[in-house]
Amino acid sequence: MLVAHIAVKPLLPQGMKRINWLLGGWSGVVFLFLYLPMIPLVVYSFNASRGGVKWGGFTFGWYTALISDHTLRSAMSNSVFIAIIVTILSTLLGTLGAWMLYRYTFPFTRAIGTMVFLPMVIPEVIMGLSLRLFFSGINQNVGDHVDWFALGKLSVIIAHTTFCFPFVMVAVQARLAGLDPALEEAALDLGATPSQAFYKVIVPYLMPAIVSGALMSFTLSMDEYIVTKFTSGPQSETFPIKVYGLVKTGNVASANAISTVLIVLTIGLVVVSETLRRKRV
Amino acid sequence: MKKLLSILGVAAAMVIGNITARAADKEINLFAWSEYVPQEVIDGFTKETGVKVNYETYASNEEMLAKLKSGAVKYDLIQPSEYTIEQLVKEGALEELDQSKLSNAKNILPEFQKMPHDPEQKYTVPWMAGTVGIVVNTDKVKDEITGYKDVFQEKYKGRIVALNDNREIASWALNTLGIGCNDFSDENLEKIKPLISEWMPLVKAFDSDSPKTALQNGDVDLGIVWSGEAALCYKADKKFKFILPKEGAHMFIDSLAIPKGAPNKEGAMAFMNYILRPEVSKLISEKFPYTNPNGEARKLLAKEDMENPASFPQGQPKLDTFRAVEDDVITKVDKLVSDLRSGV
Repeated sequence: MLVAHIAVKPLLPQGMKRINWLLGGWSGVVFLFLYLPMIPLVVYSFNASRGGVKWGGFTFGWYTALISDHTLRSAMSNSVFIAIIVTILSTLLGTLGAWMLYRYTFPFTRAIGTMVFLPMVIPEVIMGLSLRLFFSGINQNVGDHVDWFALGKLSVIIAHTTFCFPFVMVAVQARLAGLDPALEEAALDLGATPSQAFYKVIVPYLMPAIVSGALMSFTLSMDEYIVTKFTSGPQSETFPIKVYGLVKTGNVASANAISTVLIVLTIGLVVVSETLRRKRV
Repeated sequence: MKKLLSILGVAAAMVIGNITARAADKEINLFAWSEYVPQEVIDGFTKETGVKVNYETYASNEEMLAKLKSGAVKYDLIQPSEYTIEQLVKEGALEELDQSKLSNAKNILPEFQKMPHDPEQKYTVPWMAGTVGIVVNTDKVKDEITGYKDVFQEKYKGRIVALNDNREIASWALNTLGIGCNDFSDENLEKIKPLISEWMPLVKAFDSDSPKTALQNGDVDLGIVWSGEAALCYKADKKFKFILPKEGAHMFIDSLAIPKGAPNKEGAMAFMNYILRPEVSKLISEKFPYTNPNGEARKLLAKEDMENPASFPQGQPKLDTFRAVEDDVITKVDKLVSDLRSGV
């Protein structure tokens, strides 16, 4: 009995307890810092005064207003639509690009490999401005015949894809670094064509990286503001642009309400995916 | 596999259609001021005509011009103020309006027609007029405020909101010195410099989108703001008094116009005629209580709204419209005020 007791609770060196307390306290502060700002946001979404800081009484009005406000819905559906297309394009481009750089050698392979990551590090304002100039240039030349490249959904999709696909590429390249070349050779040896070897052996091996890159692209595209501001037109108002506009024009309460809905949805998703994961284990 | 491919093909076609198609006769691109076009008006128009309105906003004439001139997107309707209209007309950048399609144009009061920026009323349809004046929270500010000089006092430091518009700010200084708000000679710019550099550090916030928010939240007690914003403050609480500065104030007329090369002129004209209807114009006035130039709509407005001193100024205030000036002059004014704002 006594032995078991000692085994469960090993004696701590002097002072260790204090360090544990400090570490615990520090983690607590970090969590407060992360989550505290959300509390006033949720509280003020029930504020009857539209401007924000001053309390004007309790109301559900902003939530009912959300339901009837179709401009918010259309901004949200624009955002989701753009993010889905961007995710598909970036995943394709990023995966194939990483494979190409890994598998083949050609002139300037390394230079290309480095240049691809420029969109990840370049300041977003500069990227936005250069894309705006790019689309202006195209439109001034061909705008009278085709208006495909007028600022709108397509320009935003192109812009987002430009900075999203390198993230997929990085993830896939990291996974490729650990790839055993024998896998592909074995597939070819056993009678697979090169494309079969790619789809049946390499792609499944890369799947975790592809999925995490795709999720990253989706999130990046959903909440991007600066580049979108430069490249969007009247038909492509996205959710972040709409919310910023609401705050700028003093509709702080509406913005709080929609943010609260998103927070609750996100927490719900996390909880659901966690329970599913636990069940499987 | 074949079936999958054909499904994918259809999906791709739909996506491409969604991205690129802009049915030229079923949509209009409206580029207008933020907090100026009620959603009910847009929805009402779409319901009646089936034409979808893509509404994008801006916060200053200069911002609108920059995007318009970049040519990166084609707008069917813009909403410039008088001096910007004058400039666009000079540059030949606006379409002439087909008056036969504007049956409701007769509702506009004569004093808002054929003004200097559009002497023949060929290019524009007035949306709203307004002024830029002083709002005072009389609970907090007990002194009498009559002009710019009374606002910009050391004791009000950190209690003032001002429009985030460099030409407006310069015009306040010009009016204070009695020069007149359109005379931007180099000599005059030198004269207003000390005044602006004295004023700018006193301002707590620059906001053109919604200066009323700072006033209503009690962040500031004084403001130099659009009259419509002032009218909304007054409507919410009578403690907010509106004063047109005795030195002189800017009167603006924002109008709808069609830029050259607009893809859907028909739709744009229909929208113009729609907002000229008394009952529609009344809706705009109720949501954004500026000075309504539509005589028939004024008859429909509640007595209380007609008596709002910010929407419909009483007496004989000294008012001036802005005139178009050369681009390089505007750049100079902009730089002067920006530098003084950042304390250079």
